[in-house]
Amino acid sequence: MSVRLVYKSVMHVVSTGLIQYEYALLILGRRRGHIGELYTLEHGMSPDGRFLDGAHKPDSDPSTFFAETGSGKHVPRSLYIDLEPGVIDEVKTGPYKALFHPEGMITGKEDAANNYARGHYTVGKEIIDPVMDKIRRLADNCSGLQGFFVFHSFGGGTGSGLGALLLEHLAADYGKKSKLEFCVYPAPQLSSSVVEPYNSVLTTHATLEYCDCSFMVDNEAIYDICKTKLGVARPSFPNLNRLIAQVVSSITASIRFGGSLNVDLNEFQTNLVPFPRIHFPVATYAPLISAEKASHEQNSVADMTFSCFETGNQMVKCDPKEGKYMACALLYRGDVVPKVVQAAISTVKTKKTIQFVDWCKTAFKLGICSEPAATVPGGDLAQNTRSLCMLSNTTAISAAWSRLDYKFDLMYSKRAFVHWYVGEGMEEGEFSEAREDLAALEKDYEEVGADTPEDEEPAEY
Amino acid sequence: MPSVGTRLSHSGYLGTVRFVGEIEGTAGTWLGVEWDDPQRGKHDGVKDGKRYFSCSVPGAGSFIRQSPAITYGQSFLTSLISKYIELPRGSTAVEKVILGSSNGAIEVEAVGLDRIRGNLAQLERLREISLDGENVATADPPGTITNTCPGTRGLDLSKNLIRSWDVVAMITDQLPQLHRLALNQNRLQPPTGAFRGASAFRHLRELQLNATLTEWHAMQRIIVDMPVLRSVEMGYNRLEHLFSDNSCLGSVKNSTLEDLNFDTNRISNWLTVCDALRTYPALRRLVLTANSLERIEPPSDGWVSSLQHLQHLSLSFNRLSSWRDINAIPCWCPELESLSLTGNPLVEDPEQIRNARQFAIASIPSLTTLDAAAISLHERADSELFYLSYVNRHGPTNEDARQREHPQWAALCEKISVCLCAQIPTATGDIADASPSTRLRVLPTMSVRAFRMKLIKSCKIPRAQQASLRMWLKMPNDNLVEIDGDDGHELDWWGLEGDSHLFVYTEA
Repeated sequence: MSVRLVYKSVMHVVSTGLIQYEYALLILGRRRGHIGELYTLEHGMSPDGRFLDGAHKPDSDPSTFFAETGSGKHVPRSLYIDLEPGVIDEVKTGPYKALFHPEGMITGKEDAANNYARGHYTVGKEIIDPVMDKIRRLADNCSGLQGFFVFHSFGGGTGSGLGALLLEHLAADYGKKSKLEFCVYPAPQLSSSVVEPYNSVLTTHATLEYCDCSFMVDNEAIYDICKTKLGVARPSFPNLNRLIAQVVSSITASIRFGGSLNVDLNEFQTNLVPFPRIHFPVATYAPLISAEKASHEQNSVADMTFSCFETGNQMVKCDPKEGKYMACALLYRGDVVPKVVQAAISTVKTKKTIQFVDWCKTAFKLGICSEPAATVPGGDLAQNTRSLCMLSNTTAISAAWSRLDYKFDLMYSKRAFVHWYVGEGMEEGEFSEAREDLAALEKDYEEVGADTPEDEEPAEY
Repeated sequence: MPSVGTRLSHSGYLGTVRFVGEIEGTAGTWLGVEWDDPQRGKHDGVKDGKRYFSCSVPGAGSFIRQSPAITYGQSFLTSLISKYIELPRGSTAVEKVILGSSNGAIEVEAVGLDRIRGNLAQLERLREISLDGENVATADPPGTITNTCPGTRGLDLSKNLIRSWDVVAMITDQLPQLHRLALNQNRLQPPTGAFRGASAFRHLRELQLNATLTEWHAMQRIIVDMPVLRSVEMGYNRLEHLFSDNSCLGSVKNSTLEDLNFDTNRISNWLTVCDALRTYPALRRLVLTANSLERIEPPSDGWVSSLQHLQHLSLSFNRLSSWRDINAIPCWCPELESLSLTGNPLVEDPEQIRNARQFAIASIPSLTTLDAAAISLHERADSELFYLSYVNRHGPTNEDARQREHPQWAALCEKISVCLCAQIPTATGDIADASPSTRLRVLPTMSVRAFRMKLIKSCKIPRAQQASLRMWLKMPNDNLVEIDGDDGHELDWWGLEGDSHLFVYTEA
């Protein structure tokens, strides 16, 4: 249900040869302030955005996501946008309210009612211009814009509809900048509406060509992790969001803590996306230990590496052993030493052989960031001195699309609920167009996973 | 030959020397070893009916010969340097590692690792040091560690060959900024006279002693020297009882300790836990996950709870099976905000599983989080209503018995129900004090229309008289106000409160 944008800009300080990144966050919809919460913790700041005494970490680079104001306060370069005021009001009154600039929050007056067409056409149309204005203002304050992060869910109306609209406008206005996406794939256990498959398919179709790389998070997988690994019997949205925030923080660590890392996300992104449409890496996180567990074993580098190749720690429900890897990045954080990492990787023992596509052999990369991941106090995850986030582009993720398409087809074969969309001015043709696009995507995955046929020598001339 | 008590490592297994000498019927010297991993052992130190040494964990001992495969560990700094200092491999090289489980087909590439190596090699800048499983056995001469890594805030010395607390203190004494210390999976002998705890742990806030077989009183004696300690983890220690050793502690109270973790022990008696925690009045968080608690007894009269300020309590994966145990929790911990109960027979019982969450919420009024999921005001109200109606239907009808079994009953009734006295007049229709009166319990949120139905039902007013039913509310100034029986408003809106008097009239 949420859309978040991040501006990313680069300032080239030519005289010293130093490259500095700058980021801004723009947040839309129902994702609470958990990510901001983590970012402030990791950069050693207090909830109002000031550095705590002595906590400023020399290696960290808060300017990536935070802008410094005249009074020395750090304001996230961010914008919360929602079509209804409820959730954003929570941020405004929450413990991190001082962190977010009131300028950085835009709300509409009526919500999207879980309807893609409302978020995209009727209601979204009214809010998009002020939103683009604010984005432009934020962009102008960056010394050099490099790209965007868009956070949105597939299921709800705001996330799917307005998210897609926003990406379209960003593509038109900032065509050359890279656009990365974090999207939340719907789960039946936490579903608020039956039309989630419609919204998901429509928004995937609408954003497929505008987005350079999408990190997908499956609410079902997150739900299961909370339940089985973190001991949360009935996970609710705050539980899920805290876990997602942890993963997002790990993915973006490479840009935020540039100084202590050997590679950054920009390089990974190139590696991770071999074809423009095949841009959905699966994120995997380790260790996932409940905050109530006494630290015991599980967090050695070897254990973390092993569990990242198992399905239990994945943020999307699919089995990579069924498919083939096209690209993979292992991002270690915290107290890890290169030789220990190398030893752990070379001795990984999984039940099934890890398979790679035959047309690319070198897209397995390793990164180390010595800044440990912070955890939100009172959260479900145990504090740890090291962690691992694996991003892998695998053909197995097409299973997620198949599931979605199946649910879509069930309803669409009877044209159920379609009138809600048509009533908001959407053409029915967009449904079949979107569905065909997704079918093509499934096909694409099948093709890249297939073995390249060897040039067979003719038996005789 | 090592002395008794020396720690050793033999092909990956850690152990402690318990015996050095000859064994009857064999030649040469043997080492009697108690292994940290009991699976590695063969016996308890008894050979051919003769006991040579004894083990704290049954079956964890065996005899081995002195051999080159045995290591006795190295000093702290030697381990530190061998782990963190690695020679650069040339700035341009792309380093490749073959991924395991890929049949040698996949290479993992890394660029720029030399930069990381360079950063790590600046030992004086390290904040977090983890030397788990690095065979650390001894400290270095005073001053040398301070000079090497003075900025260390977190230190992990898990699974090492350190012999005693004296050695730990000698290491940490040289780390003035140390906040976190992990000593999991060690076997540490208690401190002796040379122990410099007071200076070694003066800034320590978090201590992990998981899987160390440390006993409760030994831990208590250690942390006396840690003036700002906030959190202690004592998981996997096979603790059965928390016997306080009052003789040496006297009346020492530790007012800073807020967080205690007893994950995966064998604690079975709630009362001894409460008794043992008397010395920690500031305790906020207590984890008793995966223990053997079967009952939580209510505090006996005059017993001051030692858990007055507890905010978070985890009782997951114990053996609690009765709601009486849950009812006792608010008596012990009146400020409890968060509780975990998963994995107890009580909540796993297929008959109870649907009601368990609601019951737990209603039974503990201060709770805001249950099993890590937040309780909204709405959920609380719903749960309390559900609980009341359940007790009303299935609980004992006798007031005393009900109060004993459901201590929250009275308070909840007070909170959400209105008790009405409806006087049903005799057939003549006179409003007289002599007419029979009935007490009704209803919710203030009930609509007048629904209330009228209830009244008809509970007073068994015949159908013929129902049409003529009229109601008046007696105001505090003894005036009567008629209530429209077909009104959609709630009773609350009409100003009905507990013990309001209502007069009802029906025609004969």
